Amino acid sequence: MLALDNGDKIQGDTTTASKVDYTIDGVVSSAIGQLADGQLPSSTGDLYTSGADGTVVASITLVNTNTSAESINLYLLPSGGTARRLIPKDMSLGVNYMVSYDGKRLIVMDDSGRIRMKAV
Amino acid sequence: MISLDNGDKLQGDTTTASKVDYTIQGVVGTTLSQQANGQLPNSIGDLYTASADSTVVAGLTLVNTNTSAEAVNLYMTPSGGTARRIIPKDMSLGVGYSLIYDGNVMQVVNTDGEILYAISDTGRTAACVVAASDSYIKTQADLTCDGTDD
Repeated sequence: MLALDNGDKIQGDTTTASKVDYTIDGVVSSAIGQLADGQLPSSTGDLYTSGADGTVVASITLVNTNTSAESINLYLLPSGGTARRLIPKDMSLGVNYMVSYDGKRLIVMDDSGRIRMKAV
Repeated sequence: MISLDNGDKLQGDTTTASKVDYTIQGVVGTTLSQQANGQLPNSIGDLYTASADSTVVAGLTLVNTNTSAEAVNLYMTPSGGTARRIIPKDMSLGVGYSLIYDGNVMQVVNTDGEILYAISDTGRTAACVVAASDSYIKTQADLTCDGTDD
């Protein structure tokens, strides 16, 4: 989960505007709901602004609908503060790939349903 | 999760000051909150100080915004006590990489969105190592290590 106070924002961007779908789900004042949806802009923009303290973002889902990979970014911007990165900087998201992020785990899945991993 | 008493601290450092973003989320009392955010210092410094007993840190995220790898450290320092390491010492965080830690599991993700993992070849054939070293979770059949990487 990501906990937001009143006025805190989730922001994001990608290489190409309107090519990466996003949905944000969570809990506001004990009510589970879809908090926001749309497509990422090509420069840092607001995806969701919390309207109350104690707002919980339970998951953020991104899907690349473009025909080429996109470099994506997500940030937490505290009200009156500075944006902090939440995922790897300029993270490459392959064609049709999805990202699922819940504040604790970040998973990238390809269009065959396989989780991306790398042995190092 | 990481449980903190009043005055306990989360501390951290990295090679280069102001190059690694951090955010800390958790529960104080019964309220979910964003507990702290900022950028790691280059010598051990306070990231968050609990102001009440039974404070819960549910998740801590680091992202390396530098153009070179950073050696990061995180500590839990009990009030009046000694700093104890909570992640590998001088852990290398690659350029752009993120680290997520919830007190139970630590996950490092590279800029291709791949979760980093290590494999050991102790007691395994070379074919097993090769078979397990591509970019995807292998099925049980793949891990029979029959010499083919299918």
